[in-house]
Amino acid sequence: MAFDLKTCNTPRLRKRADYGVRVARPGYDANECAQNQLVFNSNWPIIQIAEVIDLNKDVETRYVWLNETYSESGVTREWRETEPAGMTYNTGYEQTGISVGKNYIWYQTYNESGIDSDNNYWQKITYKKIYHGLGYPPMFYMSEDISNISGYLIITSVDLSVDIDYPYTEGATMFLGSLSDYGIAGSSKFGKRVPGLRSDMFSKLIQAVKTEKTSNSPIRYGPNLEYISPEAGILYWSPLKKLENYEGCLEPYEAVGYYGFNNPFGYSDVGVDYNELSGFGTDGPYYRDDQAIIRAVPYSGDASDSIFGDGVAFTDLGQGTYGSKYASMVIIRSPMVSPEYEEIVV
Amino acid sequence: MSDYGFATYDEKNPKKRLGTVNSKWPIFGPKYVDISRSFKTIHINDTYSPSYKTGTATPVIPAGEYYASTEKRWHEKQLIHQFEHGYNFRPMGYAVFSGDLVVNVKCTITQTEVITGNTSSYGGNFTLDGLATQSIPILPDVKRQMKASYVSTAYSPTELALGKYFFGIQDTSEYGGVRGDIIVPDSCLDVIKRDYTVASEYLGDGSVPYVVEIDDKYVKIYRNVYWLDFWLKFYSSYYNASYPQYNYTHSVDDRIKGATSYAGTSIDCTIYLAPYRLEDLI
Repeated sequence: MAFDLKTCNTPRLRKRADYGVRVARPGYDANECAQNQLVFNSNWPIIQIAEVIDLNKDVETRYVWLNETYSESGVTREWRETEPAGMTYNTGYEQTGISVGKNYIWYQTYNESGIDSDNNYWQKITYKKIYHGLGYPPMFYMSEDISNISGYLIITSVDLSVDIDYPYTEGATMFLGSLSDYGIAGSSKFGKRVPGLRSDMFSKLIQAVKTEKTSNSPIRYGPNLEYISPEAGILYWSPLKKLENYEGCLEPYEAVGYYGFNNPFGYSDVGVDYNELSGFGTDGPYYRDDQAIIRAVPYSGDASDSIFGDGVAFTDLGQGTYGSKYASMVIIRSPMVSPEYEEIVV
Repeated sequence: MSDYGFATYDEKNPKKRLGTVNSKWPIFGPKYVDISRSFKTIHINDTYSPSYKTGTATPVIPAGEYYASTEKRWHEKQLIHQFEHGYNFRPMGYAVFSGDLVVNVKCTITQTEVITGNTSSYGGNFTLDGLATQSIPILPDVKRQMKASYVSTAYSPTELALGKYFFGIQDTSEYGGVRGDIIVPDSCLDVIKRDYTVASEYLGDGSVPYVVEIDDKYVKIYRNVYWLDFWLKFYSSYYNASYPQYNYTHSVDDRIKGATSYAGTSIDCTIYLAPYRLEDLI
């Protein structure tokens, strides 16, 4: 697996216009200095918490029925929001899955299956549709991943569906101890104990959001090309801006991958756009927190076993049958290295 | 609520938000005044190499049967480092691991055979050791590393490419993970093969090498270590009064011990803690 720099890094860099606040380090002119000479820039795409969604909140429980027909030409899916006539259910099981759309969280909780009066096989999917209202599908965390409380979805300021690449080129710098307070402090929507945007808080930056729009085409197969090769990298990104091999260039970066679908329950029907799918409106594409692998890839050659690859790829590992169509990978970088570094031998 | 206008807007079209920040949304990150404790990198050089553990009960072959086995497994969550995070509550946050994780699976098999009568073709007296070492690059892959482990307060690098460590006596593995295979002479394989579980004993059971936990006062880093002690007894006999020259009895003892360790690991663990709790957001 290799990547092509021309397609790996989108040329559509976000405009560097700054309509807000820049705060420079001591000794630098905030108007003229480089990005890494700033302590704060209101145009930096930082990770902010936009909403915290209670997945168990009291909202209407919804149901949808799915019939899948397999043939030589592929899979045909029929969706209904009313129960097919004469349904008899024979199995049921917990089936949790969370998708985020532009304005809703689609929280799948239970699956049942059975046959209707014409002997057609149907799955009944139980779910909740919870409003978040941000107007874009956000990068999100599960609360159990970042705290000791489960059952909440932390949704952020990062739009998973827009492919961007910010033009930061400076390396991470050491923290300067004197930069403690520039007196800029916003209150948050979450109450007194949680500060809003403040110049005395450190955030990682979003370096890039990669979607399939600007990545290499994945290797697809199947009658309708509905499957993606498990070994194929779906999305690529590299910090390199020219065709040189800098070993170790990936180190300051972190990556987060999300699967995207044109259906809130983790299906993608090739040739069908999400807003054409009956019953699901135009809330998609829908992003899921499913298992995927971020891999280091060298500029040329096979997948690297080294962490010092020239780029990263979001790889579909064993999930090829999901046929993810709108996958998204977020590249995060820290403008500073840790001010405290301790080496231990244990 | 004050708004300092950090959200950025198009000057020509004030309704169009251009910027990427909102003044009322909290930053998910540490505070500068606390930054030396809440944004910290610990570089772990692991040198720990555990000895085998012994503790399995002697297997008793039931009457009319020919073999029996017992086993014991141990898991230790060893605290390898801790420091105070400086808050008087349990903050939100996560840990990211990056570097080279080395997983070692070592195992040893001791077989003894007591023979009466004809020479056995089933076993022999020997001790054999196996060792598998695999170096696994850990990319700073945020999402998977934020997954909580079986301890509700833990943030750990789960779902890594390894996840399980085991040893076996077969030549090839149908599983992923790290194997510490023992090459056993063909003439001695029959006994061991009688119990399939011997051939694929898991030592890690899908758990993770290192776990970070954050409590009300400390950030704690733990190492997960696993041991196994498996004991198999096998008995075989033949008796025919008409052909006493073919009569025999023999019993074979197999004792297999295994342990995982991460000696050779050189890995960065970077911890980010926000100055608030999740409870404050809900």
